Amino acid sequence: MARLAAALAAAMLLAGVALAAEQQKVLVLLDSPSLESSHSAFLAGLRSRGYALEVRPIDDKSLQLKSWDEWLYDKLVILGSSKALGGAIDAAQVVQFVDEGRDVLLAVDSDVSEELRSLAQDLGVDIDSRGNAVIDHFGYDSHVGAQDHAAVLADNFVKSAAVLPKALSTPVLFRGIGLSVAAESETAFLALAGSPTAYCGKPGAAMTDAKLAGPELGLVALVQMRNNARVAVAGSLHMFSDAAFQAEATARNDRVLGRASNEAFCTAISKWAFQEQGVLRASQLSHRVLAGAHPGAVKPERYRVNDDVEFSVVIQECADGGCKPYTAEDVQVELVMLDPYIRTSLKHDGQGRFATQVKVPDVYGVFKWVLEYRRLGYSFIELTETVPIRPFKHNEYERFIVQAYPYYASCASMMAGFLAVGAFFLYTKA
Amino acid sequence: MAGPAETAGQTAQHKAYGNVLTGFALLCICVLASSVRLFSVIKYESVIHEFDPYFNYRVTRFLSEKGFYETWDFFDSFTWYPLGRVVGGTMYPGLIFTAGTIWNVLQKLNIPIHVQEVCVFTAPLFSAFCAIATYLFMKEVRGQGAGLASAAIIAVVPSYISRSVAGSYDLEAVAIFALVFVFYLYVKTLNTGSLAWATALFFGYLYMVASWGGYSFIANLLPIHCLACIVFGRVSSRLYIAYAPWVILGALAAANIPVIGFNAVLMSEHMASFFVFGLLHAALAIEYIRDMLPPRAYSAAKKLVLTFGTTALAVVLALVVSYVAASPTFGWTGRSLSLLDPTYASKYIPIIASVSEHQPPSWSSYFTDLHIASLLAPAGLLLCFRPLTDASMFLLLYGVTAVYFSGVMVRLMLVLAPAACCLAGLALSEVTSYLSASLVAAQRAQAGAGDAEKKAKAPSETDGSAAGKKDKAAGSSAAAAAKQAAKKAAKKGGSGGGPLGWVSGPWKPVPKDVAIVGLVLVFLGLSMFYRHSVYVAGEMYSAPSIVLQSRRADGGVKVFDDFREAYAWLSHNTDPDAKVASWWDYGYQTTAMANRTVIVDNNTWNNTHIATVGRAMASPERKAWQIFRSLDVEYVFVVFGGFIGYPSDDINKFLWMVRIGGGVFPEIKEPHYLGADGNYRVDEQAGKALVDSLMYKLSYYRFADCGPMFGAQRGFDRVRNAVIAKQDFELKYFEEVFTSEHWMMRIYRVLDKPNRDARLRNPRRAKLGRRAPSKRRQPSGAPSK
Repeated sequence: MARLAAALAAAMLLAGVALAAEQQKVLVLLDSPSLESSHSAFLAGLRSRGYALEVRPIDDKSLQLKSWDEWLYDKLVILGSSKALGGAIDAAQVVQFVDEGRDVLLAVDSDVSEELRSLAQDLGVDIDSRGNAVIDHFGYDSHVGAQDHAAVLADNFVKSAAVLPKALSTPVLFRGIGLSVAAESETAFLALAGSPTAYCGKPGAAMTDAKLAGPELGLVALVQMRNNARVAVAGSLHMFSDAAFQAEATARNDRVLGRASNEAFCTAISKWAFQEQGVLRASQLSHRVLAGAHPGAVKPERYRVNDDVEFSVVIQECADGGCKPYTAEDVQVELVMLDPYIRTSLKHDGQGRFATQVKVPDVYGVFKWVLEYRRLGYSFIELTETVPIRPFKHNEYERFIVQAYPYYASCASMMAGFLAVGAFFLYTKA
Repeated sequence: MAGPAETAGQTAQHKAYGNVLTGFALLCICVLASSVRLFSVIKYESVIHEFDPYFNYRVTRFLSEKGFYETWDFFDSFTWYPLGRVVGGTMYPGLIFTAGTIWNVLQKLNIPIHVQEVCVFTAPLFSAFCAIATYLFMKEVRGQGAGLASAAIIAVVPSYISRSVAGSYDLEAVAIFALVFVFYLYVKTLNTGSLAWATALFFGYLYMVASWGGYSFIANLLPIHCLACIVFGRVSSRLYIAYAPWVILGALAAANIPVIGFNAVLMSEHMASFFVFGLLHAALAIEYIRDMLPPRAYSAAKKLVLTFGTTALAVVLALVVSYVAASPTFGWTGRSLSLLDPTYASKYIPIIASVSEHQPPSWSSYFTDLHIASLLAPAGLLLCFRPLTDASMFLLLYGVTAVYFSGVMVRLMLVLAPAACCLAGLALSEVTSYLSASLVAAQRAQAGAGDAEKKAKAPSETDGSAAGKKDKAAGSSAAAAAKQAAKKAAKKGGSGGGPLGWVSGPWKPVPKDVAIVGLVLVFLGLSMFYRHSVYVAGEMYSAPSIVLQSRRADGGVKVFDDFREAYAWLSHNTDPDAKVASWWDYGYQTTAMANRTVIVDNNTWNNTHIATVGRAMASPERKAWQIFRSLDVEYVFVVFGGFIGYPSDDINKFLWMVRIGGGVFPEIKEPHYLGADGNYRVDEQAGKALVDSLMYKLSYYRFADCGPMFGAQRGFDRVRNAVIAKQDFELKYFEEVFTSEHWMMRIYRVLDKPNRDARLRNPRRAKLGRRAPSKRRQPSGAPSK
């Protein structure tokens, strides 16, 4: 595990270096060619962040994601709707793309194809039935959604500085389909959820038992895979469009709220999905003996019971191409053998070095340091380092114990007495 | 006519010849004892056998690399993950230190030999030593003849061969030698009453204690003998010197071996020696007082002492009983208790009962393992009474107790073997010398008659008469010796018409023809014994069990080397830190051959941990996956014999996993794994839990597709002779990574936690509609790397 995490960190580091050296390749698949012009601002935003975009129709016969065993692209953006994936790409390959550590941004609308729904399910996000739309009879945008109440103003943003570093003051204009994530999912969460009055249903039809409603209704879901690959699924194509970026949010009764936050929000989730935000890097995991059998030993092969040891790790937070020391008070480390024997929080020095000093338990066995850090929106840190703890050697015990002095005395007196009696018998014969 | 001086010279010469001859015979016996154990190397190769020897070998290798002190403090993080094992404190170091010393000496002599070779040949070497020890022991008990006969029998007795063939690098390899040697030293001390020998006894006992847990047999046999001596009024200073120092020093010696430690004074196994130690002193004190006091004062004192003594004894007894009753096993270790109560283990400790060598032996195994010794031993028991000495009483008690213990566990046949050999050797030697003496007596009688005729006919002819004299002298001396012994026996056995009077009658020779026939019969019997032993050594006990052979129809030999193949795969293809789970039988082999961390192994010190693995094997796939994940297991392997018909595979051991797992985790219930008729079966009527269990799935995964090549039914298991219940299924949480050539070992990788949380339970999910057919078939949602 430790090795895997280290490898990931190294891969990320390499990716960062690569970003500076050469542009990352992004394949953008569009449901219709007109999207390229209608979503030009979003695509231009990606280009300006240094990605080399390759924009292709989604059903292009010559599409290829992978040549032999090499991925041709680093990221994938799908602005999809009813059309199926074309060329050599299919849902399983996109899943494999993610499983091998690459990122995907998937945006769909109410007319979503079953293939894309299935793809989203495999990635951990459930898109509602085709044809449904998010409706809010109270929170619709009175400028563009007055007719069917299906253009809603959503401001139920995820509370995570990793996803949205700056709070958005105005709602996002959203027209599209609803999403949901499983309650027990450890990987997926909603970046934008519905307002208490929003639900997903057929526009214009009466709805009495909406399955998806309220804060459970997702508009945009983000998925942080266990291998730290990221996926963003948005239920709306429209929210990425130039029109939405320019729109004024107008609440009921024509109350103007100001410029809708679509541009800022879409940029934020694309940054998050493409590992430009909320990435934690752990490195320089180290532990050393402070007092015990081998004081000062760094990363010793094994500890002895009751050694005093120090555990340390450097954690940095990377955003927008640069890294800065991570500061959090809730990073914990455990010393585990079947159960955690020690669980303690790490203190940081402001320079990103998290450390703690502990006395290892008076139990021998194969212990491991486990640092598992999972916080909403941040990439997972999972580090383990195995260090067996050995018992005392035969010559490491105290040689003489105070409590045993009576016994030593009795032994000595016994020997002296034996000598005396022996001498008496041997030499006093008349 | 020969003068007395000349006769003495001749006797001395005879004695010298006799000694040379004895030495030569002993040498032959030693060579025979070693070489009969080399079949395994000749037929197979020089490898370590079985299971436990692999642990000993691994520690010996560690010792050769790191030295004695490191081994003494060896903490092994490769076994019992994540608990680890303090190997230095939980093993009997005798064997390992012996082989390590031999290896070190050879290195010092610039003989570059690998540790493995030393380990392989330790057992044959020590069986030669054991023959010598037996000779010495019986020489002390009865005489050179009995010694030689016993040595000749123990050299090739199959029971001992089974545990000491080359490669069988197990504790018993040196422990049996140590056992007999301790007996020799005890009897020697008993006969000589010398403190020097008592010291030697201490060192011999130290070696025995360091070598084998069976030392507790000695720790109880010596007190029994001492008690018998007290009861039969044989207390002497010789007995005191043999017994008393041994109790104290022996307990100290035992306490110094880490694996025993304070058990030497706390466990009930050792209580008998202390108890008898007290009794011996009491008996001596009574004798001393009787010598000092006039009879009347003595009887008063006796009354006083007896009253006090009984009270004190009652108090001590009450204390001991209360201490003992506080412990659930009455202060005994489980293994010892299962000796006293043979049903104990099967009732309470399945892990002891599950080992095949802890089962009671069948009757036929007495004949296979002891052959002629089992016939001669009862005669030897009788001859122990003729005459009954302290030493022969010791042999008698040893024989009787060993017979009992061997009836409880197959494994303890090994303790019986030396006893049976000694008793048989005694009988053989007595019978042979009796017949020979009869022959000589007959010859003398004939010669005497001829002599008289000759004297009358030709007084000048002296050659023949001299020869006749010599024979007569020899014959009469043998007869005289026998008579003397008989007399002694009569004296020892009590005055005249004691209960054993019939064994100490006057010596009478049998007729010449009977003697000749008897000798021929003895020769034939021994020949058959040797023939049987060599056959058994070659055919039955030489298989190393990691390499199997089977005879093909054309007479050729087919070799199944699957175990080593699979272990080699593990060592070459997995991460050095990978944890490998299997049933505990294969733990030692995995650490020694594959060099990977194991969860449980043959040192069954933690029942809960073994039960956890048993529970995982008996659970459905998902549950098992969770258990293995919690133990950081990366690979699981099972041993499967259904493909080639190898009966001791994991499916056949599976009920023990269920029992051991169920002993700790009550949700595992044995009846669920049995068919409706209460039998253990894998066919259509198999228990539901069995078919769902991980063990079934790992064993039979893809089996139906790749089943037997000889045209049997699909999914036919050659061991169980049945078509398996569920033939086609997929594994979701495990991935097959290796199956050996004959399917005997199947290795699976425990899949990681899935990268994606796909298709978890979600009540808000809308059903997927008709889906565009996927271009490639690829399982989605399955856990992946």
